[in-house]
Amino acid sequence: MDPHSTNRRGRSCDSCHKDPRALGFGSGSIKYSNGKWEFVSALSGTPGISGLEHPLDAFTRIDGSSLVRSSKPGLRTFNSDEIESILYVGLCIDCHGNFDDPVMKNWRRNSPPSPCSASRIKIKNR
Amino acid sequence: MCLSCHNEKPDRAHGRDVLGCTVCHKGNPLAGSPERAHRGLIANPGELAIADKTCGTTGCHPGEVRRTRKSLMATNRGIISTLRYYWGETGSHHEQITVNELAKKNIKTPAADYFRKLCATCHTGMTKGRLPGFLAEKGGGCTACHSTPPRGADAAKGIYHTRITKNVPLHNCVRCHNRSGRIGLTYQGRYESEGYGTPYSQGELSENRLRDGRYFRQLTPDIHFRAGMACADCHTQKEVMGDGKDHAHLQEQLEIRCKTCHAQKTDLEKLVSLSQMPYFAWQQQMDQIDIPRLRIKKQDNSLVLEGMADKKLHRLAPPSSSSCMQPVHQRLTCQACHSTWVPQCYGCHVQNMKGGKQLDKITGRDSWGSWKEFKSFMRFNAPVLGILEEKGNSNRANHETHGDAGGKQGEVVILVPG
Repeated sequence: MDPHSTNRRGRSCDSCHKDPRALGFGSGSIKYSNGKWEFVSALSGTPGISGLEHPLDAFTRIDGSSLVRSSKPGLRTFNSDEIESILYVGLCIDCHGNFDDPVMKNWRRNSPPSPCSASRIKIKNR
Repeated sequence: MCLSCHNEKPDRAHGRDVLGCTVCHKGNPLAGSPERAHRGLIANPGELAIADKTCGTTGCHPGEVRRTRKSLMATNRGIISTLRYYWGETGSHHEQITVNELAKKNIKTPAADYFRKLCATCHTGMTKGRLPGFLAEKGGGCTACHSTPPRGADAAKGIYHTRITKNVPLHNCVRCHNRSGRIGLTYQGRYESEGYGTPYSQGELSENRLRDGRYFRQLTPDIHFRAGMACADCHTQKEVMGDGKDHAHLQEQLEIRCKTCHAQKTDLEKLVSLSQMPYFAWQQQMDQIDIPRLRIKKQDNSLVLEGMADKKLHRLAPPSSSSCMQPVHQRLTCQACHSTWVPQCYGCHVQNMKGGKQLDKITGRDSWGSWKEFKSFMRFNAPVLGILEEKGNSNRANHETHGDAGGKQGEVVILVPG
């Protein structure tokens, strides 16, 4: 789908790798602790009202279980492996967010570098 | 004899001293009375139902009319197929049901009824003026796209003939392309807002309203719109009017991609040669030509795209070697990064009321069962991303990514469910 809102400048690293909305979780924040990812919704504080346990703007859950159907065959939300890969990059881009940086230059999707201790932080709430 | 009453002056190519009136409008030019002269008159020669005898007559545009009749804009094949697939009425995403076939066949399903009541206004086969209100502006065959109103000075002189143009203006496209993905609105930076009329202006409801009353907010338009480009500057004749084949979806009919223009100079050279080929020569060979015919030309030492209407020259920049061509981002489509916002309606839903009547846009008569769309929780956000797998999308030309990785593992695309 091309929404036809093109701009010369592409979106930032953060807007994909650290934004739960870009990955389809909806509004909220993401935490990484003890090697696990967790999504905290900003909109579903009272599931009793809507009966939903996820934000209304969510398309998928952080475990990759999709909440939507597509009208196009082959179009899907990210699976759990893809979600982890994308979020993992987000741990590093605060310090290494440049393509000239050796960490990014030598990034291998199947064997990414181990996280440094400084990156064990809560990804900021959007 | 027509000119003794009608002081009309169409565009130069269709001028009265070139074609006369009856080549397009028929009637009897030698009759002495208006009644006899108007017998058999065709008010809008562009209507697809009769275009064989008018626009598509031998020596004029027979190929264009033949292809247009099969196109998605004339058949609505894509809308019908997608609706039925998405609503679970068929397992095939490639049904070939056209709006004309739907009119003839007695298909009584929720999706078919929804299409008849809410969607069937927007196809080029719709006779212009047949429906009430603003819907009367829809349709009209060739003239749905290729006509513009008379210039103000002409109208002041009593010249009311529509002006036929090959430079299709943006508002002719947006007359229909303003719902579903809202692409025609987004391109202009118009975000259809929830219907509260906010932000208020001088204590009154917002004046930003569309032709059908919906409110919009002005956001940043697409960079191509800001550069003065219209839809037809990118979307070629083969895409819009069709290539003569029965495609089920627009993506199968698309021949341009971002990377068509935003490419290295050497890749653009062949497009320059094609743009210089005379139109009629291109038309004869178009089935064998698999590259798009765009107005790309050389200027000094660079390549530019010439604006169709304003002749403005647009520099064609290749993708950034530092970020776009990075191996780690090879699966990303251009849109995934360069689209700044997308309208989303997270809480929208549709209600069907069996006890109500609503205008069936195909028959032009009311029938039982009315549909109403509700919108809520509308937002404009940076796009959500997802994956488009190869499955069902095997046409390699459709890929927007720079490398092969996108084709094998799926491309990262903008995800708009529904």
